Amino acid sequence: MNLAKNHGVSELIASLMTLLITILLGSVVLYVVNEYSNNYQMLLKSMLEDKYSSRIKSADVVMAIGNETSNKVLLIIANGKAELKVTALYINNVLVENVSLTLKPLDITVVEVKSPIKLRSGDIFITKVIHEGGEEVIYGYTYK
Amino acid sequence: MATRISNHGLSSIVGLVLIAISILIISSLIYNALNVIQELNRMNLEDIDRRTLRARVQYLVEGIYTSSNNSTIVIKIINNLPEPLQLMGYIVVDQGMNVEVFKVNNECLIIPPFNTTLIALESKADPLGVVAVILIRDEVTHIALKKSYPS
Repeated sequence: MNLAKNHGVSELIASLMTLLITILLGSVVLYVVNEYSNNYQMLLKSMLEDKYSSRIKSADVVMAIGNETSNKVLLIIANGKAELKVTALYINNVLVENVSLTLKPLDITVVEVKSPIKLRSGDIFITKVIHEGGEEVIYGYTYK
Repeated sequence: MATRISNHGLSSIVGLVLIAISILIISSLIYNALNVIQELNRMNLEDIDRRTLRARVQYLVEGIYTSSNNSTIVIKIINNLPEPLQLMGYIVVDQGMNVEVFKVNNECLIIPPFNTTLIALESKADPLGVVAVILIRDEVTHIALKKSYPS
């Protein structure tokens, strides 16, 4: 039987060092995992809150009529039970500038906006309305 | 060859306790995260449900209108759905592509399941098309009404 020679630190110090290293490593691992999971949870919760707030908000774009002469688009938007803000409006993926629209609950609103693109009679255009509850897309037709 | 290992045990017990605590914390974090993910999935399912609801209205709610020469429009809405719906209003488009919006009095008119409603409107001009705006649960949608010619 070979007995190990004890030339190093004492058993007590070795135990304390092992304990210290274990606590240190454990704390680091816990801290990293905790930070990561907290960030992930916060991201998920904010997504959830967005979903909750948009759930009762519903709008429907009923019609989009283009006019070649005035180069304007007539939009008919029906709103649901909650007040709704239209945040952006696109015609053929081009942003319509200076659109500030708040829709009253259970209201049908007729809006006329200047088209950012040149409308020609017989053209089909895509209208995208982005609001607090999501987005609505409708195809419109241009008349003279 | 045998080697003498001194086991005073302190570090291993502390290590075990640390592992137990970390397992507890990590599992509770995973549990919370899974709950949030589950809630998100439920919300996504509700979104799909909303789209299905609109499709159901398109297929199961019928609307017919007749117009006489003096611009009186008679609208008939048939609710074939097994749940009530509310009529918010009508949009009448005339030959010159002018739009006239008629809102239903008292905010909404409720049509019970498997029921029919008749409404008469006075339009300014002969209509080219009529659209009814419908509220079902919290969802707004619309249906285009078919023109019926009086025999």
